[in-house]
Amino acid sequence: MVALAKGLEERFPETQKEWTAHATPLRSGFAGIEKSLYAVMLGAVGFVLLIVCANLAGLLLARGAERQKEIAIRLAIGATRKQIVRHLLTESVLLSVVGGALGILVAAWGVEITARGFRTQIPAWIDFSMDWRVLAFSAGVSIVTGLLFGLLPALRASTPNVHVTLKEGALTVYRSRIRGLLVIGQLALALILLAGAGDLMKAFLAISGAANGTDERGLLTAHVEFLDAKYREPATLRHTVSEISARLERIPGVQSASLHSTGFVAGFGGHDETIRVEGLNAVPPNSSPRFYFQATPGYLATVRLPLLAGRSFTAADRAGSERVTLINTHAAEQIWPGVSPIGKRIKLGSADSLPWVTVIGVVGNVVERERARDYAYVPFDQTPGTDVTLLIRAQNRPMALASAIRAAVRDVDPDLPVVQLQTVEEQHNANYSPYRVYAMSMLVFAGFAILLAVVGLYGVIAYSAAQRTREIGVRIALGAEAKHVMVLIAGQGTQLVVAGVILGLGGSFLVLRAIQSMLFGANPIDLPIFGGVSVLLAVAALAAIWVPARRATRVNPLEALRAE
Amino acid sequence: MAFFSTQPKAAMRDAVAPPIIGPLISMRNLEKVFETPAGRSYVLRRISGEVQPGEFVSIMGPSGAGKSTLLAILGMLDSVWTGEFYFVGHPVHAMSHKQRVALNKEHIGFVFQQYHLIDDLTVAENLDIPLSYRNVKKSEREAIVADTLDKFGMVGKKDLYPRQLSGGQQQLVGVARAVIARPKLILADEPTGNLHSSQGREIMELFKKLNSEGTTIIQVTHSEENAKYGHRIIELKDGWITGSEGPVV
Repeated sequence: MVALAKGLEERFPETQKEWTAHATPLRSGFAGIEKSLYAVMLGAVGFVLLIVCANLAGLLLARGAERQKEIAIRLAIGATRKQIVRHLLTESVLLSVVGGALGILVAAWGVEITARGFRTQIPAWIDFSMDWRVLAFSAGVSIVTGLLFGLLPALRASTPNVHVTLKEGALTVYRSRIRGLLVIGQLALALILLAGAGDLMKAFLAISGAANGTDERGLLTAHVEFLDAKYREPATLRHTVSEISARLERIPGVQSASLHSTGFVAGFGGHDETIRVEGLNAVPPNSSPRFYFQATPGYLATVRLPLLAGRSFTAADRAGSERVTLINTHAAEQIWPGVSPIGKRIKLGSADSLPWVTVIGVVGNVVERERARDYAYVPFDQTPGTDVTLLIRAQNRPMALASAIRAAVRDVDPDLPVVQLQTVEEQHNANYSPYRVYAMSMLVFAGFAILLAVVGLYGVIAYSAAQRTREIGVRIALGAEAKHVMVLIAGQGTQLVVAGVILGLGGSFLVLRAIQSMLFGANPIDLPIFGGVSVLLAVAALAAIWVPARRATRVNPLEALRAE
Repeated sequence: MAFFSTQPKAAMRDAVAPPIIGPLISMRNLEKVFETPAGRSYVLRRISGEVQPGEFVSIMGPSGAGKSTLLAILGMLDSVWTGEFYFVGHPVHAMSHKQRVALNKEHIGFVFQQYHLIDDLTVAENLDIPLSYRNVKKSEREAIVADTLDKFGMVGKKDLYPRQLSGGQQQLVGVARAVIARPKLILADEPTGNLHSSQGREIMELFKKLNSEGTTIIQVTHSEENAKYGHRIIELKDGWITGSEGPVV
């Protein structure tokens, strides 16, 4: 491909200079960054699955502890440990398979809801449907997780001290450290997901925010390419564009309209090229426009970009007249600090062959991602382009003008296709839809993870409190007040939460640094986000602890002491 | 109806009681009832009587007679009953839950048949529990626990867990835990029920000693031998007091 491009450059040096070519696999061409994004999403789903499995393992451990007597009896009457483990594993796999089946039902419904919710924002190449591969994968995951996470509880439960367990009146209280560790792990994973989702959402909002300085509301856009051979003649192109612009402005309901192409100061592959300024050896860093808009006179009014000094284009700024340009405030202040730029001359590139253009006006800055973008604006007639964007400002409902816009273009040239006719807001949303889907999905995963982790924590504390009913009864009989019981039960849960949050923050630091490239340049270690998600998780977790702790304070000591 | 304060038939033991004016416990028509689908089921009926400071009272009766229920009411663990109940002059029947808990904390210690020690706390930590709920400073608590361990001859066992002790030793810890906060009254629910006779005798001798030092004791027991350690024996049947023997102090 490089050799082919080189050959083209030699044959057509005027147009092919600085251009090259390279081959890209179709898959990565369609799903480049998205591929990585969805790998991260798969990782997030894995985290959620791990939390579910930790919950399941905790449940099985608790159940195993409660069944010690039954298992001891089975062992006493001749069952082997292998038989007991097989029995318990069958139960755990059955549980996970039934859970998996229910999950598939919910997923079938959820996928439809999700697809309907995102509608056109889902890129066309993403197939939001379930097929046999999804079913097979889900079944496999269900069975494997049932086996893996059922094994440890089964092994633990299958080794009771038969003599002690069966001894009359023996009351064995199992305070499983493993269950506590599982809860800490769940909380940590949930925090990592939450911090990741927070970072992603912040990054998404930063990159997808509408540009400040122009007004995108009520603005329609469409694309027209002047590919016909007749448009190689600039006069024909100018005339047609002017004619389309005039017809668009005459459509009832249109406030203003303009057409423009976009030119690159540096050109592809020449990123360090800048404009040239008459009288200056070099322009200051970060002040040279990278793009220039070749626009018809109605451009500023249509996008509502304010003219701050000088004048805008008029019909008089045509081919053959003095070449003129507008420049934005930031670039003007950087290049000519303290001096009016009006009347100064620049070249929109480095090449000597480029013509000088005179600055006739200064417009407001277009601010994207908190940074002023430097642009120049030149009259279409003086620098026509064939790849043209239509911008139409509607008085009321923009899309109601769609057919009239198509008709206006068709009237001028029936062979000109009008494509991608949509509002600028729709276009903006479509551009960022993969990232939106990504960030929203991560938020949903994080929310689900918190819910699961909190439910797991609740289960552990509620189970522990239930096991300690007799102890609580004794303590109340010995003088414990509600606050003492609350501290006793909530203290245990609080330790788990603190450990989970600390572990989660450490994990977030490592994981987010590892996927830094997926954060669109956002700082992965965002202290406000880390602090915010820690507080959010801690509050949810403490609420889960509070419920069983509060219940424990209401233990009737008389009943608790009789229970034995 | 037989009352706590009926005249004694015979002195069961020599009683030593501190000169405190007024009864420690006074009850009038105390009743406890359960509402069941079949109708009202009485657990206690018209219990009236008094217990004086320094007394050692044994409550006897068949299973289901209401002995433990009466003990729970006296210990303020049960608050669902009717009648009047005064404890060191305070009208318990008119008190809030919080006030009852405060009264319990200040004046009452419990000894249970099943010992009810906290499994994962050492002997010393078990003894520390009642003090910790009474806002005693840590340094003072350590001193009191050390003193109690010494008094009960358990210094060498202070770091052991309940499961590492015999039944008699566990109940010794249970009694030590009951007295460590210097209560006016010890309520003991079948304190020797799970012990061998020799261990049971040791515990009863301990009660006798504590009583001789001024602590009022009310025990529920099935053992006639152990009941004789008390100054008086109250007999309950089907929720009624059916008999009382021994002197009113």
